[in-house]
Amino acid sequence: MSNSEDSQQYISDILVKEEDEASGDESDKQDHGIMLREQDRFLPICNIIKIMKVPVPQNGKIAKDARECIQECVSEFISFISSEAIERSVAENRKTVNGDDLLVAFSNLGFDNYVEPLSVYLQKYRESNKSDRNLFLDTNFIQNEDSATTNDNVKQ
Amino acid sequence: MYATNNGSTNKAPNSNSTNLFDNTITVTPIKVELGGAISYGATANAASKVAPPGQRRTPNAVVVTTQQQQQQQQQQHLHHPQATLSMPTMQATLVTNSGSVSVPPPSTTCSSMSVTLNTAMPKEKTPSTTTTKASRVQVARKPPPTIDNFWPNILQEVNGIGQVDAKHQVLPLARIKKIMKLDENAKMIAGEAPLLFAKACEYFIQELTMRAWVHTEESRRRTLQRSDIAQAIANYDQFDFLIDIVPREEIKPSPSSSSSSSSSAAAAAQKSNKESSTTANATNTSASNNINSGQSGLSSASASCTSANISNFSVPTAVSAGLKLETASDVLNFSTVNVNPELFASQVQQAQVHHQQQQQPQQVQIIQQGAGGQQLQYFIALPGQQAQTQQAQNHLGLNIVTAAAAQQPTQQLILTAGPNGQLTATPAPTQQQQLLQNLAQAQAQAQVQQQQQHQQVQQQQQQIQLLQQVVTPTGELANVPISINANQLHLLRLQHPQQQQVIIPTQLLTGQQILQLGANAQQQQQQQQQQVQVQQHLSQTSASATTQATPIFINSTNGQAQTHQNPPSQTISSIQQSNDRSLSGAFR
Repeated sequence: MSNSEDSQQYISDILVKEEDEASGDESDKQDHGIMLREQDRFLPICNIIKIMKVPVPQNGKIAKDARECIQECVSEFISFISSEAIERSVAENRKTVNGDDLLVAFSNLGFDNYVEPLSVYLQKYRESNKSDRNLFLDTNFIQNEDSATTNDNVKQ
Repeated sequence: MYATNNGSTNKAPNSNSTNLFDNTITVTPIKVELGGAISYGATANAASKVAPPGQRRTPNAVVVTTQQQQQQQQQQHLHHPQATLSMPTMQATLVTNSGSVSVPPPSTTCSSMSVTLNTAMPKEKTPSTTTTKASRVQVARKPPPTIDNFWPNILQEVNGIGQVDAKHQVLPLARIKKIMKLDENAKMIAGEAPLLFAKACEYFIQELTMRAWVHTEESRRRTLQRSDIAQAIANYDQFDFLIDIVPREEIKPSPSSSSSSSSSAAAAAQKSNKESSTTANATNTSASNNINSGQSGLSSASASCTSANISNFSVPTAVSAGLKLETASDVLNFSTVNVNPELFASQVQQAQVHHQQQQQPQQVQIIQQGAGGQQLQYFIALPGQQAQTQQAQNHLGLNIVTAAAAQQPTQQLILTAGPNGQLTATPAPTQQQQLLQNLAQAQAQAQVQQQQQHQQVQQQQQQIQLLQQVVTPTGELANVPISINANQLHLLRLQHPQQQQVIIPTQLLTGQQILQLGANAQQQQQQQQQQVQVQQHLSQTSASATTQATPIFINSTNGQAQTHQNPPSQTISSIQQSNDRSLSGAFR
């Protein structure tokens, strides 16, 4: 996307994206400069609507402003937890925020309900990842899987 | 995914099935009672690899048949609508419960295949969820979770996950990662982190929506609004971090919320319609309509009234009505109320019927329309037992509403009520006083609340009610509140401190008003006997008729701040005559 297109999509919230350059991640270079499009700050609303429909009865409806409100809330939720998790990883002198940091952050911020299902989920994910890897990686790799998985995951 | 009639496929909402094959019909599990009449389509084509009966998993069954067999089967089903999908060059896929898709090998397909949902025997009842739509729409929609079973359900679901498919998530991982990286301290993010967040966000959205939906249902709506979300956030500590995102002002007061005093007053008023001790019922009605509920601070203001006499009785009314409280030294015992005169007049007219017998007025309220449309409400503390011991609770409230309020050019009346100067009316402790306020109670929403407050404050007060007995055209006796001025009230006290009956000159009701009152009384469901009478007694002296009846007969004057001077005898007769005339005119 060209920068001119980006400028046309100015949003009222303008974030300085210096952290983007400092992040060291190559994949986000498309959003240069200080503009942050609304779609970059929020999760796509269609997916959110799908999830919202689960607890609502079939004949229920959701107002448009309510959907957008949830969209904002989710982004705030992510930022809220992430900042706590990042802080923790920085305090432990680790460069990467991993799932365990997130779980601790959930617990610290009062989201105790989330800890158990998410830890089960994380466990299953790691198992499935390991099993995938076992098919393709040799034993050396498996022994070093911690660092290897980290590298692989970062590159996603 | 479900098949549509035009041969395309759509992915069903909430479906976790994957779109592995574009030409695949994936029919999601349907609870179908399969009877003996159903046979799996042994299609001529091996491609239609519907699970043979041996492997069939009831109740998830999809019968794929060729057209020939389908026709046979269709004839067998008489009552149930069937969904028949003809999908040329389509393959049928049996979807199991777990959501995983078992796809038959992509061998040759039938030229035309039909997928028929056979709903068993003709007499068998179709599951309500499976009708023609069932074949297209995913039926297994789980019931919406409640707050109690939300997290246990999630635990169950998570434990039931076989494999975590990182590639197919409900929420896009890249976007989550972007949001995470908005934090300036974020350097590197593990791959599992966005994945974990995707699940966490899913739970979060569900929980927030579920909690907001509770408020939607409370307000008896079917559309979830932003205010519901705001309320859910406010009610749950875990969501405190969202307070800034969805400001509190977004919360709209619901009918049952207590956020607005007037609404709560209204609700309370409608519920407990008992105590008539509320003073400014009529005024409060209109006052609550007019005056902002932002004056709820009046309670504190009124509480700070210097005069102890008015502090209590004026507080409830002031609070409930949100009225202005004047604490001027010489207006110690009353509060001025700006009331909508029209409302008031209308209330008065209808109010008559509403002096419910069941109500025990504890305070007589004098509402008199002042000059300039102001309603003056005077509270005269009834001395309970002793005039001076009781202070705040010792009110004599004279509840008088000018029936002809709209027409009377009343003046400002100043009651100087103090412990010594308290106006006293005849005690009428237990008898039903037909208070004017009750008349307007039907309309006043804030009345009951006032009454309740009033009750608490004035339980020992004696009551008095100034009424004018009127005989309505139907011959029933109706008590109409009469307005008097302050001096008249003072006269009450002076004249009949202990008597049941107090007579104060006041303004007469016109014949028309009486008729109106009577007519309204008929419309209402009161049981009073109403007779068209105008009974007015002169009470210039203390020797006036002191009947045992509690109603107080008042002679009306022109509302000047004068003592009871005007002999209303003339007016009485004139009114009677006018009444008779008007009555006769009305009924002939």
